[in-house]
Amino acid sequence: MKRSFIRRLSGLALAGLLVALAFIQPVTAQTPVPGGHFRRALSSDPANLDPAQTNTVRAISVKMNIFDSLLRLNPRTLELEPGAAEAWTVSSDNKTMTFRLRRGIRFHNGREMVAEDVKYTIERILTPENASPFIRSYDRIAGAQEFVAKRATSVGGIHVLDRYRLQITNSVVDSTFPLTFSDLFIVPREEVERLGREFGQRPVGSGPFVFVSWSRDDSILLRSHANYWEGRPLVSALEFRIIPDPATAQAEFDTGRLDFMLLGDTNYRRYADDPKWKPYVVEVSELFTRHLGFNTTMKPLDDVRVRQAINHAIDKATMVRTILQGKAITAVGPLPPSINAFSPALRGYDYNPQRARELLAQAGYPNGFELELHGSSSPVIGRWLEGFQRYLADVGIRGKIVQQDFGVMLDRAGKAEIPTWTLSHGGGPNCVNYLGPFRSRNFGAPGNRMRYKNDRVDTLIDEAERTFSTQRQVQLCREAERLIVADAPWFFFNYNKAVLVHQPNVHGLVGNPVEMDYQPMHKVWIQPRR
Amino acid sequence: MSGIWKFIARRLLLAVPVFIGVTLVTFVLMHIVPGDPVALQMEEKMATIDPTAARLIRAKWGLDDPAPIQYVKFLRNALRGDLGISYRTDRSVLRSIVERVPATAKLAGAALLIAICIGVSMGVVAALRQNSALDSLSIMLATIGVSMPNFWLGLLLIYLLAVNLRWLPPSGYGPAYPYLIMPAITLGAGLSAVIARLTRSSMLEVIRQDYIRTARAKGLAERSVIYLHAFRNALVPVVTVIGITMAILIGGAVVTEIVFNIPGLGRLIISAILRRDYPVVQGVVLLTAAAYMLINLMVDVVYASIDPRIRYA
Repeated sequence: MKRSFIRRLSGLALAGLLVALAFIQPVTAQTPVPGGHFRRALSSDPANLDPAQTNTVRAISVKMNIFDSLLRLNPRTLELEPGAAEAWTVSSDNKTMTFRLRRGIRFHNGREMVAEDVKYTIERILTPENASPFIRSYDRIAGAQEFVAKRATSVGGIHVLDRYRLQITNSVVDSTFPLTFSDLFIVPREEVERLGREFGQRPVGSGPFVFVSWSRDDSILLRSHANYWEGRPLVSALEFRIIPDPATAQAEFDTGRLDFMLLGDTNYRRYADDPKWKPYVVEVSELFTRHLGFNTTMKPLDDVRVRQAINHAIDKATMVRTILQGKAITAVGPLPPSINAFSPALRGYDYNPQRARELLAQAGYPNGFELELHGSSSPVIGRWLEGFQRYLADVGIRGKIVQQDFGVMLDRAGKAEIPTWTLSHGGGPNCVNYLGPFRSRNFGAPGNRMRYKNDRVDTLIDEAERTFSTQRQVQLCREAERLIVADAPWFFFNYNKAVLVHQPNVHGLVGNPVEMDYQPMHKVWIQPRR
Repeated sequence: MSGIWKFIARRLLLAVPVFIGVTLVTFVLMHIVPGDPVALQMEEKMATIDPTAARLIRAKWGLDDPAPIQYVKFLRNALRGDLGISYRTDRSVLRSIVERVPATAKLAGAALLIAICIGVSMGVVAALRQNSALDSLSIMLATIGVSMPNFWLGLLLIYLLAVNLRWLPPSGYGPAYPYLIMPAITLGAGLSAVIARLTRSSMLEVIRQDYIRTARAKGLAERSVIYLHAFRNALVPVVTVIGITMAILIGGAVVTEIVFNIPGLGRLIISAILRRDYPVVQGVVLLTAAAYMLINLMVDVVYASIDPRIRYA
């Protein structure tokens, strides 16, 4: 009897243990576990990891893990938040920003980051010999032009107040100015000087990961920074594998050799519709607007009615559903839904071939005309152009598809040599920057390839640039967007939906509308596989 | 100086105008093709291109010089062994090329080895069993091998051997086993088919020669007739083709390197062309031309050791 009692007791204990485990399991699945080697893909080699040099998506995806930026952009709210600077203020005249650095931020060489490092980082970008593509972001700081022209040895508008505080004065009132500090990756002077040109190949920062090695076109290996101010990252190693072919990346993911991958139009449905993978698919409306740009100085596109007709002629909803496999959102104007100035009230152009024909007739083209539809040589763009061609034929426009090297197309569009071009425009989280290509001061290669000019739009964007009131800025951008949509310098096609799929044991990845590749990896963790 | 050394010296001297011609053609082509390297470098995340930054970048890379001056500067530096700095990576072009050579060389070498082993043995067997089922099979395999695009064969192998069977890693660069097997087969398949067809026809031609009949009449064993007399002579045109197809291998390596994610010269030049990274394009073209000339020279020298009748005047 005693034995039977013990047996029953053991049975009960076992059952209790199983029940307890069943309850514990979901909790442990959400409890971050340190350790593990995280592998992710990049579509091409980042070329250079010097914060003053390359501005490609790939380079920034790596750099953001090696360096600390002065401020950060919250991927969920697109609001600025503390980075290396724990606090900042803007003066009453909206020109001067005062930053207070965190104490105890350590570069990977062990030295503490101080305000002088921030000043050095900005002045390095402005040094003409460095030919930084980021120079524009800081050249309106007071005294920057003198520094660039070598009439001054330091930038007058940057004042180091003490070890941890510095003040930066802009020469103009520019509401987008604070945003530039979310891209300012701070570098340690002694390492830049020690390594010279090699700094871009063996970077030293203060970020959550420390550079270990870089095998060109193969992989970049980082390890966790033990003294990171936000605490040691959860994964102990972070590897970026350079995989240019999407089919190969998919094979690597399917065999468990990548912890996440970005999805394209061709493989989006395969994962998004599969119940096994669906819970691990992360989607976000990206800050990119795909469009067909119009050269507004070339006949017949110089007539607004013709441009409006094209906008009415193409059934973008069907194209998004079929050609893009639903991995996009139909566009109504230039501003995408993730940006705060997106206007839900804006209707844009509906699919209305009858209206398109009427507009063409009014413009003097009742029988349509021939139009070259230019795009890069990518097969994806080819499919879009075929779609455009098909719909335009219905209203009498005889589209001729011209696919060429991306650089060739960009160059020819910049020089106004071609009537149309297919591009994806990304302008970041602020509407003023986003609407940059519609400002007449940016004619040609600087962005306004359409040669579009509307004085009212210029005035509205200028005013939006000067206002620090978010509400007012949104209002001004919306009004500018309304006028742009009416003038139709683009065929507003779609906003890209950025999608990634991750392995079931990966946690902490976020949908970043600025760029899906920009993943703050220090909060990502891997559940060990059983 | 013996004949062969004179021959080598003359060929090396001839290399100088070839190098100048190759670099000049590349330079002119790269500058004729539209596409601004500065705009391509800046466009990606910038809503608009900043003219000040563009001007500074142009000055840094000497792109504001007239084109002839740019070319002369390139030649002058190349003569000193300096191929310049990549616009894209800010690194020495020579260093970028040198570190890519092992990956491409390993891939091309392994593919060549596979192609020779499969191609020569298939060709010899097909010739010796002319008009048999084995011969027809070799013709069929050769046709398939030649017709199949590299990337397609590569993807098929990845899905079969890596994704479904999990025998090999899908891609990557590492030890020859397991990383080089699929890329080498992918790249070597087409070439093995060419070699097989050529070996077959060359063998058929040789075994009909009088000296083969003489060898047989002397009572030599068939194996000796085939391997010592026929095979060696049949190899001369095969070696020529192997030399020429090294060029095809390096060209084909571009696609194979992309599919299998191998950090070789092919990927370097593709990204350089797309981004108009002129110094890298020039550097790779120059060194590739040198490699071709060296291979051709080696092929010519190898002729003499295979066929004693060949002399260098």
